[in-house]
Amino acid sequence: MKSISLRRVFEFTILALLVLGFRVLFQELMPMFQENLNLTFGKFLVKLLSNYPLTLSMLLLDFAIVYIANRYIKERWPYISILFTFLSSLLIAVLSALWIRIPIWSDAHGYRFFADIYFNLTLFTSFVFNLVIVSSLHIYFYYTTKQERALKMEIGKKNKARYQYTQLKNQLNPHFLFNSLNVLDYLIFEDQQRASDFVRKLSSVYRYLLKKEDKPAVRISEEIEFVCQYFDLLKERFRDALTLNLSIPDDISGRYIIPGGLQMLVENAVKHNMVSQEHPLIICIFADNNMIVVKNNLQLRMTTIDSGGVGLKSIKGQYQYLFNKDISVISGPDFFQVELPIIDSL
Amino acid sequence: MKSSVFKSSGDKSSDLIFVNLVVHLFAATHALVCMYLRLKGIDDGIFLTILTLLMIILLINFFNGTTDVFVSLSLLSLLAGFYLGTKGADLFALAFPNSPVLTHVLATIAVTEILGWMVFFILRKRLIKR
Repeated sequence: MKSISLRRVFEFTILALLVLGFRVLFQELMPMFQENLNLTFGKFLVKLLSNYPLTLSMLLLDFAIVYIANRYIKERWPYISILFTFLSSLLIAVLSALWIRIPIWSDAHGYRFFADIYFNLTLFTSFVFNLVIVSSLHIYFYYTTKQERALKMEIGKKNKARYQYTQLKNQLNPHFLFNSLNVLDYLIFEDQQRASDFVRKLSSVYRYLLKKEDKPAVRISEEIEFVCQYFDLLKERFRDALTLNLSIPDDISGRYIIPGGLQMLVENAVKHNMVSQEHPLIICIFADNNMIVVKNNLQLRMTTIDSGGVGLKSIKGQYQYLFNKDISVISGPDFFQVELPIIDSL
Repeated sequence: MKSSVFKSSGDKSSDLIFVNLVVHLFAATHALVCMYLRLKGIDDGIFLTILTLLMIILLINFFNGTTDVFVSLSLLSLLAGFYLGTKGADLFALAFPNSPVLTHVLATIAVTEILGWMVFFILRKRLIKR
């Protein structure tokens, strides 16, 4: 059984004691309303809130407090957020009490003004009101944020599942293996050395595909090496009809990219475009503006299997889910280009 | 994977069983404490407050609620409990005018159930499909 964190127990105990203390104070002060003002707390609160400009101002300030606390403070410093909320509510309460009682400043100023029971009861009432409003808003923000986070998490899981499914399909892509074995069959009789090199590269490709399955990102140098091996396999099949131009500076080789992303884009280029001696396909991979760009000349096949853009969608979803980054797809009259963000560090 | 009976497993039916257990158990405990102290002539406010806080802590911990939500929920629950308890007792007194202890016990049970389920509905994992 997982043990409850001691730190969490300590935190809750301290906070519970503070809340209990407030409750005791609340109970002790209740009779003072009847004794000094001949009104219950509830009736005094109603009287206070009947000052509509004051009430509206307090509500607006409370909303601002909760917004600032949730937006800028809560995630990084939760206790600072609680303290900020508490002190802000107290400040608003003081300002409210001043608003109500300032007309009598000439009669009772200085210490007597602040020691006045009516001033202090107004301050307390306003403080309780603001605490209630702030707490309610806090819970509302928590509830709506939680729903959005849960939704994002589900979408992220769906993207990850789709990406993993696509990767799995790619690993077992029968067309790629079928074509590779056809090439191998030819090479065995044609050139044993080339056949041996071909088998070695084919096994490296599959080994890389299996190895990178669980990694969120790999070094660009590793991915480029993999793409080169993959391309060499394609080259045996297409010969001079297929060209790969690589231009990746050394200073970005150590940074990261989604594994298999470049290979998928190269595979897509070959899948969707004509590759022949009359229509050679040229694929360029280069770095530009913190992106890795894969660009090819556009010469679409007449007949192609409609994959519904699953590969691109899965890369896009994976970048969004893991790194909150967008890929860029640019299609011109005679070129097609996809830009993948470079990840600086894991 | 380690699991705990005091932590939500994500399974809605088991979560509901736990919440039912906690809320009803605490409602019964509130009732017993209230009855005992009232019969002894002791003010029950602080003790019932402590029990309410314990219930909220259990629920917050179960659903992995954050610390600031705990503070907000506790404050609201205590203030609501204070008012609902006193006003609720006045209401029950209309039905049972000659049983002051019973009216407070019934009010305590009702308020604890209301507060407990309110905390549950705020904290539970629920996904709004868009």
